[in-house]
Amino acid sequence: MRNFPSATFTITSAGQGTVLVDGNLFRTIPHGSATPLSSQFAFDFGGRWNSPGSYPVLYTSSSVTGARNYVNWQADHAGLPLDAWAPENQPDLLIISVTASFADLATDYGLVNRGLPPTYPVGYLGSDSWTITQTIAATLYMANWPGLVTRSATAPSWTGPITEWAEVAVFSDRAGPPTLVDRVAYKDWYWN
Amino acid sequence: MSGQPGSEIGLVLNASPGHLQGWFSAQALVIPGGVTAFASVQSMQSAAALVSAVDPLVHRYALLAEAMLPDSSRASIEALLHIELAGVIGSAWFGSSGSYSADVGLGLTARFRILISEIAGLGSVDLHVAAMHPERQGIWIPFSPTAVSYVAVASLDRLKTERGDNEQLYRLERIQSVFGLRSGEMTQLLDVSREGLRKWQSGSPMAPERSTRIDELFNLATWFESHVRPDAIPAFIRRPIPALDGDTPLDWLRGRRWRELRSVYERIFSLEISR
Repeated sequence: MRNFPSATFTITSAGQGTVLVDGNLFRTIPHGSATPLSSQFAFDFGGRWNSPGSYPVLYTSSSVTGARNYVNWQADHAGLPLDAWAPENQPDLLIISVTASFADLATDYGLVNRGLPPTYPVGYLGSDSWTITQTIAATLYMANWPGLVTRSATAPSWTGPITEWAEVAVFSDRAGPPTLVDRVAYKDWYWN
Repeated sequence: MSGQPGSEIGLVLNASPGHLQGWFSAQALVIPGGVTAFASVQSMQSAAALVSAVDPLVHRYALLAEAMLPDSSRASIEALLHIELAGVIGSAWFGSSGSYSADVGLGLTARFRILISEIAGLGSVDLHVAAMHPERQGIWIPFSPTAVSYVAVASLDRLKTERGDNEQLYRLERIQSVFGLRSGEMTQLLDVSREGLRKWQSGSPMAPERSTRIDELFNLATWFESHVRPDAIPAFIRRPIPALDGDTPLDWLRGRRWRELRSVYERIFSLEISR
């Protein structure tokens, strides 16, 4: 697979609570999906940062490793290793390019600033906690933020460079359409 | 099937009406009583008896069609001949030979020859087929449109029953095969005794509500088969799954949580689940 560098994440000086993201983000979609940039499913069913039917969110990872951690968690959660998934369901890697300033829910300061503990996401795993995270995100959405940068719940730890453990929830109708850079089939990205 | 397909094909496609009548009789392909009863009294009941009486011939022709034309479908020919039967009853074939049972057999044979000629022509298969026309030897009975419609309805009903039973048998086999279920597990899922399941598997009809349950389970099985590598499914359904709160898929199948189970995996395969 071609090398796709992660975006740069520039945390603004303390007190502003924003992270400038510039470059590639990563997302996994079923191989059979004909609408790779659609956030309709997340809109319909909701997720950690949006309640069902509220607003569309494109959930992305900050690195290929992050995307791999996510699909590995999905496979464990499903009780089905990815190789047992039908080829149409196996995850393609989508590389999209974004440039925008997102709300900071990744740093200790950013989390506390938005009402979450600096230990987040510990204690917030599972959908039981979504009412809290969805409420915070809805406030950001109403304030016209294009999305938020946060800690990936599927990352093994949240130390070291931010690109190794962050995820970006892009509010599709606030951020504008992302640029599709490439789409790589499961066998070509997952094992490389 | 008794008799050699090769020699029977030649007879069916080219023999004279007299030879065919002898063949119908020797092979018990048309049961005389059922046809005669309809000639006497036209009702739904006698129409059903007529349809049963010619059923052996319909199935024999479908088998022969499959032997003649590899691309043809036995089920399609069976369906077409069931549909043709009402046309034969309403045509000049009925009462043409002096034997009502022979009339129906000959009329169906004439229709069968036309069908085979048409299909062979499409596939450029070289078959010699002699056309047949009714001869005026008996008394033509012009049945009322209502009487003909009795036969049409009875034929379609028979076809539906036959296809339905085959289809249900196929679905039972697919459910068991896709999920890798033991007989005891099948009886639990379908809420039927071992004896009941054995009867279904040998072709006995089932109550409509059972049939609906089988349809739902079959749809779930085929859905999983199209989303999961088939050889992985039997082990998967016996494994405790985090997404099912530690239950196995088999637990959910037993608990009739079929739609929930599919819904959970639709979301998983969408790759849109947040942790």
